[in-house]
Amino acid sequence: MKRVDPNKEALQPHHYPGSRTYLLVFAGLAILTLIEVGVAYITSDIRVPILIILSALKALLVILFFMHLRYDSRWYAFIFFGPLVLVIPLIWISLIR
Amino acid sequence: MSDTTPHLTMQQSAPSATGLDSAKLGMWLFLATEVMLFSAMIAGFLDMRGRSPADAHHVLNIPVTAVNTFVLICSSLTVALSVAAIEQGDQKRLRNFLLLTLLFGGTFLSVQIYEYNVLIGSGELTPWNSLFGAGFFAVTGLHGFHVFIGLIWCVLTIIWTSQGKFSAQNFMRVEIFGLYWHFVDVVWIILFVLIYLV
Repeated sequence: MKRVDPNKEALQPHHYPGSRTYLLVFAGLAILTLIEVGVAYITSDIRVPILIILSALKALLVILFFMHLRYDSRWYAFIFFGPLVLVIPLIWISLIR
Repeated sequence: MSDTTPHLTMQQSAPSATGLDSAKLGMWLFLATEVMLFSAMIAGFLDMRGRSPADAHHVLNIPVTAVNTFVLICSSLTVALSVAAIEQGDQKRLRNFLLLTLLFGGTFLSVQIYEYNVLIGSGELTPWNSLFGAGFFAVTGLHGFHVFIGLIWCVLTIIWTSQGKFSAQNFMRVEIFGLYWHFVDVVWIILFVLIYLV
């Protein structure tokens, strides 16, 4: 059986995005926040779905780029997103009641 | 006889059969439990809000909280830039970005305390005068506590930085602190919409 180097990941150089990508993500987050605040004052029924989609987009930007889940091992994504199978129905039911 | 025990630095965690860094794996597992904790709290809050008057959240100050949300996003940027700095081995930039994180995080928490003072002081919203109030203070209080823990962790990371404990080959603790801080930001991104805007 092939022995896995315990420090393989730690010793390998990371390939994380640089400052430019972080600044672009930050700009995206700032713009989405502004849009959210604008949408909050709309009286239409589509307000809530739009706000939820916008916040999910912002959360994904932080998770994928700032938390490096786009660049790291898929195991981390599996561990982190696993609970969402239970969580999303729970939140959804609470929201539509 | 040679010592076969791996020498563990701040970068390298205990040996892991997965080939993944144990500390980082542990942090992601911890964050998965945090997802479940906050989800249960949010579901509870939404249920309480559903039993409250429809305009219960109108006492909340959206413009101030929107600016505070932006401040927390700024702190996430400075944490990401601090990781980028130490990846290049730049300890001075690492320390400066961590100090900025401390400033932004401290500002966020101060504004939250100010908001609590205004709401409770005026009697418009307290933890004991409505279900909405109880849920609001429980969820935002739990988040604020996480920010407070993050600030203490940030101070420790700044101290370790000034002691020269990080380098381009040795920055896992900075990265793990970053994971925690970004997660706290993600939670607020969701809370801001569900509590203040929806």
